[in-house]
Amino acid sequence: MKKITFDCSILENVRLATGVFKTTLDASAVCKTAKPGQFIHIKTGGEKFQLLRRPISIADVSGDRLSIIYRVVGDGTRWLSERGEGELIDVMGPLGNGFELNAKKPLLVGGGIGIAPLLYLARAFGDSSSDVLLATRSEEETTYWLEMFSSFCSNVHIATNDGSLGTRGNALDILPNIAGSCDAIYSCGPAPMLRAVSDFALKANIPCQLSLESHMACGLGVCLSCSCASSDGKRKKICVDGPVFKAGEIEL
Amino acid sequence: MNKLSVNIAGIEMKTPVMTASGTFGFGLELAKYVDLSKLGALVVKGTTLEPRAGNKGRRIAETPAGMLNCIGLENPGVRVFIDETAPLLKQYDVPVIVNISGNTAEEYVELAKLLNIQEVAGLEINISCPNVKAGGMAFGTSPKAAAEIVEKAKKATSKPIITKLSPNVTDIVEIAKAVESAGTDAISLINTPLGMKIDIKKKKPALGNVFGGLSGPAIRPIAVRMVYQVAGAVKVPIIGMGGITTAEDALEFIMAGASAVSVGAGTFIDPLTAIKVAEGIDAYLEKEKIDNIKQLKGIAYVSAQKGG
Repeated sequence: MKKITFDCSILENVRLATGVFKTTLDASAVCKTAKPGQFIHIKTGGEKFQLLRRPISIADVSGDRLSIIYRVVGDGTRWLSERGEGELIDVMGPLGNGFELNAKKPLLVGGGIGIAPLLYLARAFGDSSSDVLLATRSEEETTYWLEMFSSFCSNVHIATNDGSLGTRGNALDILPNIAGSCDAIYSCGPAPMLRAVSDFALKANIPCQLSLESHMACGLGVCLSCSCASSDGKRKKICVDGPVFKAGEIEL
Repeated sequence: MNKLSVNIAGIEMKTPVMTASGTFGFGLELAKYVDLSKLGALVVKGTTLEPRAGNKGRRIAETPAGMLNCIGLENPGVRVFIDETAPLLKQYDVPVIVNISGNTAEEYVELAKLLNIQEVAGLEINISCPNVKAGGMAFGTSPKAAAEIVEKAKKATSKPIITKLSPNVTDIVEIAKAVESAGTDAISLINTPLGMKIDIKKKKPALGNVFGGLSGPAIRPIAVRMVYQVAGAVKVPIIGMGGITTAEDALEFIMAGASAVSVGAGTFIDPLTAIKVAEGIDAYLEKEKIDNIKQLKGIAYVSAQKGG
């Protein structure tokens, strides 16, 4: 039987910005097979007696070190952000299908905390092979990404809602101007952004892969919390059939 | 683990720990992580005559020590189960019990007839799903309607019939007695109590379907109480479920009068939960020098309170 849960020790827990944390785990068993776009499912503790695991995308893998970058949105992520070095956490994964790395000039388009899985993707494509578009609310939410992506990507494009860095606006205010030279788009972010990126890519006839998120319980395809309608009429599960889908494959 | 084996309504099980419907898919999804042959029985996802897409909108929400769900019986329909799933399940040495749900008594009859096949060890009649408009719980909250469905389904199949009851009733004993009189071979207790969570940021219900079924450790005391009450009033075996994540939890149900138990939401946290629960029960019997799990059935029963 394939082992799917592992106790991983926390190597580092760092606050990157208001409410945003990077947790790095010693996770050799997960790292061995982890692909960009996959996620881990983390058991949390805390005073609210949380029952369910938290699905969080893999932000980076380097050797035995696995990092996640997440926003504190509730009791589980708050608990996680408060763990200290050396503490053990129960991790299930890697789960999901991951991105297909079949592009020569990929453009990565990330929105908000959805930028996280694109970092590992940028690393996997190799130095200076990809361009990235970071769409965030403000400069404070961009600078740490800028630093991380600069080491992998040849061009980093930025859009902030408040105009404090880069172009004022959202991803779609920049995307049409920079997509001309790419041969594939890889995107993760809020649903409205994914819909817009997907529509753009389908119209421009650019191959596009989207990473979705959903509330989920099991992460293994049995609870059907994350089931969605697909274009072939069959139901798809974001946890096992995704989280990465081709543009047009899923009703967004 | 012979001391763990039980026979529920004619279904031989290696352990008294089964999977609860809707929490283990059709078994195949978890077969690479879980040795299915170590389960007492595999109870598959609620199956209907026609495929169902389930409910729209958000389908789960976490609550303290529990979760609400309103999946809405999403399933590919009984034909897909018979043609595609059942042949694949044959390779595993585990009794397969199919949970069935209908909009009318006739639909239950039709399902029972169609599923009277070699690969199926028994049927669990779901008259307790809180998340569908027609049928489901409406049947399970009326003794007369519940009895009618059990009686008709029983006549349509040679398989043992297990009836899964809803806790959303005033008197669980009355319903249990009604389905026993109608010929059920066993009773599953409990399906999920109806609950609700409000998203205070959005100022609206968290779930797309507004209400959902509550599961997880939060409901365990209610489930143990209902098993205890029903065990005092019926002769057919009871399969206890509701928030079991450890052997200790399962033992509570057995001591309350259950002959077997099911692990539900516990599988979502760790797919090996049902097997770990069985191993834990085995260790408990060893430690307590008890020869057979059957000796613990209903052991906590206080005779003065007979009849609940």
